[in-house]
Amino acid sequence: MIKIDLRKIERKNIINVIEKTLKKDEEIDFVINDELSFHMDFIIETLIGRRGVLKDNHYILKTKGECKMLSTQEKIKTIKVALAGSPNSGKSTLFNALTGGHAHVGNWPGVTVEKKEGELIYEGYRFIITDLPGTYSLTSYSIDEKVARDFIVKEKPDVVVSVVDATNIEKNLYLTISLLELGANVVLDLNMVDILRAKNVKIDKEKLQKLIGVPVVLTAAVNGEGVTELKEAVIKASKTKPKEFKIDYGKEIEEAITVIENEVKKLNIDFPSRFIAIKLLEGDGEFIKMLQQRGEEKIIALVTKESAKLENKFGYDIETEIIERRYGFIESIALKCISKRLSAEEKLSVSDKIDRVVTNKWLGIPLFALVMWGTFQLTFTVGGIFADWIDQFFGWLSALATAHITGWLGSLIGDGIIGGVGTVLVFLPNIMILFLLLAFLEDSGYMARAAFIMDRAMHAIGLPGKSFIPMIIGFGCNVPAIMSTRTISSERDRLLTILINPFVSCSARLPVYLLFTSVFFKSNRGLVVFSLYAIGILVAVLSAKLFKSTIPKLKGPVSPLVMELPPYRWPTVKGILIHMWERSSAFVKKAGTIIVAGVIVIWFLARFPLSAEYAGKGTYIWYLGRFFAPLLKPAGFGFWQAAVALFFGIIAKETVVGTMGTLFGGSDKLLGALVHMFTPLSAYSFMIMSLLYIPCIATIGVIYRETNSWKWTAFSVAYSILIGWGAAVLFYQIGQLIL
Amino acid sequence: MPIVYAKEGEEVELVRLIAGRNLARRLSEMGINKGTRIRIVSNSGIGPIIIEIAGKRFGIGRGIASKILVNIIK
Repeated sequence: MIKIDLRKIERKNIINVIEKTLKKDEEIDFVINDELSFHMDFIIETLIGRRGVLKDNHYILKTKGECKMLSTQEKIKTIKVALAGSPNSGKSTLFNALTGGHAHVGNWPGVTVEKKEGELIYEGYRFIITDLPGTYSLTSYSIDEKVARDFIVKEKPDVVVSVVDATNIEKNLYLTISLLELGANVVLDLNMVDILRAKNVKIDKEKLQKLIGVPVVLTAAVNGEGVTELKEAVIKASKTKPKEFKIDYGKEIEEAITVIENEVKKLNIDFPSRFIAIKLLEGDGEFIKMLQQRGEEKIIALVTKESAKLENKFGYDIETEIIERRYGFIESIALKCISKRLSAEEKLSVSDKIDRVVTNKWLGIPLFALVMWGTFQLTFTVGGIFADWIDQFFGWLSALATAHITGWLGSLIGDGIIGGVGTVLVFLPNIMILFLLLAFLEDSGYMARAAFIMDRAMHAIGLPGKSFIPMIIGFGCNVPAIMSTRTISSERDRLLTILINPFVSCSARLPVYLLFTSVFFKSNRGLVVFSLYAIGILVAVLSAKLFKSTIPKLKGPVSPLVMELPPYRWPTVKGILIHMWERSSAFVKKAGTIIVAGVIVIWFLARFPLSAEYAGKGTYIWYLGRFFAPLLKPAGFGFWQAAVALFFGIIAKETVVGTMGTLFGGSDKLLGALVHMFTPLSAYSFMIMSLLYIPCIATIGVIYRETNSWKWTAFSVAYSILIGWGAAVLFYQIGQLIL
Repeated sequence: MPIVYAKEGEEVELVRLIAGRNLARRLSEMGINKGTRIRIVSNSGIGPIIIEIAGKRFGIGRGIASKILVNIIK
């Protein structure tokens, strides 16, 4: 057996190393990372025509006597494909239609913009499909745009599929044009042709193909129409080189471009020099910075001189002129290819009618509150049914383990692992339903309206409407929520949005509420849980207000709102399920890894020293809990189990419940114990504490990554501990006075 | 006139953006540029307005909306 650690090998050499190893030995253990584990089967299959076994981060392959290298002709050819498109072009739907929804979700190197990769095999070709972030252009206005641009230039995908909403190509071809200027090998995909057909508009595909100079495919990704044609077009395009693409910007601008391009050519940069020249004239900050770093002040001066000259001539800024010329070019193409333009009357659609109601100045916010309230009601009632079954199953499993495995191992497995993890997994149905409903709201187009409705209210607290979307995503999980703040272009607004996000109650806190409401607030669970979500939002809002008025770095005007509101549509069942599963599976994974590890530690601390009774007085965990308990007394739960649960809750908020499950040996016994330990008042106070007291480790990590500052991260942690404790104490003390 | 004064259902044509450079560029690249025909979907007098351009809807804050100058077509 030979062991090869592929993690240490440079990316470009990996295939070579694997190939060499395969020739040598009869049993090989490749040590791999997450990303490789995703590609390993395909790599091996293309080399020897069969697969090995994937186990955690090992890929085991027996090659004795049966390893025959495939000849080059027999090997599957790989095509690297990138999907580029503006938001709401149907890019994600197309991605799912192509890959069947099997995606590898990770991050782009160096930044935390989500990177989705999928694969498919078709007619002897393997497509590696990368879903680029949704952008309107390739100017480095936001990180998303920079990521998309860099990928095309540095990773050099064989084909870039430009996904365009066919219903208004006169606006949407803008990104396609940018891709072509960047020198990408483009296949133009006009998506949503089903809608076009319904409106009786025809597009002359052949003519468009000729005018724009790239293959054109018509698709309706929603029902899979045209997807096969797209695959064929991609294969065909992968065998050809992109033609040179040039927009004529008019004599004056062209002259300036040529002058600058001649200088840029000497620099030897990855990007096409004409593209850089144009972007420099457009005032692209990224390229200007790059020139400064290289000490090319001369070129910068040249650009400044040329643009000043042009601006004198045109009377206004040059970048607008360049953008106008591009639209002029698109317009000239579009006019020749579309049978008719949609006139205004035809477009007064269902979406408009819904919007008149949903975004109404009086109805908007109450309707939104109602929608969220309904979401939580459904989460509990429907999820509760399934939760009971799972609960019974784990109760049975735990009893089985303790009965049949003797000694401390039985207790570790029964009480510790099954008790702890079971208590968390019981809430999987609730979480799946919450994610299902959030996915529905997002895919239907309503979520974007929420940001719109809340814009004015958000301005009042010093935040842009866009900050509201991370808050809603925070209901699912604060980690992606904090990542999603990247669409906020103002650094100040973004920092503020990040700092308040941990107060938004994520789904991991739901198990805590569900457990306690099931014991203490049986008759009005929905309302109680809803109130906790409201408290989370309230604390977030008040904190924003406080930060904005006290921290100098966060003072200043709020950036204005411009956002696209996608048309309302019925989400597809498949789309929603994929969406839901991508997120819920993370919960299961967490239960299987971090939480298992956590409860095992907790079990040991609760079991030892052996002289003490399990989870009783004198155990290590008892000492730990007793140390913190006095601090929690004013909040109404000054006993050691609560202190320990909160202590371990930092790992992940579900662990609050998991710890209790472990300490009491499963959820059945736990329910009985809680009644003696808490009153409804202190139970509510405990829930407030769990909601606010500290961001979990994953969230702390992402705050650090996104703010790139230990100072802000530490501030966020310290502030939330203070607020969580303060709020719980305040609530309990006032409650006691009243009751 | 600034687009904030346009009424629901009216159709206007964009004449000029008087926004700063970055904002003007961003609006242009999203398709909100000179000569564009815009329909006002909703303008309730307070808060952001909704406009429609070639089938796409955009929510726009009143601050920006006062920097988009338009002519009424109908």
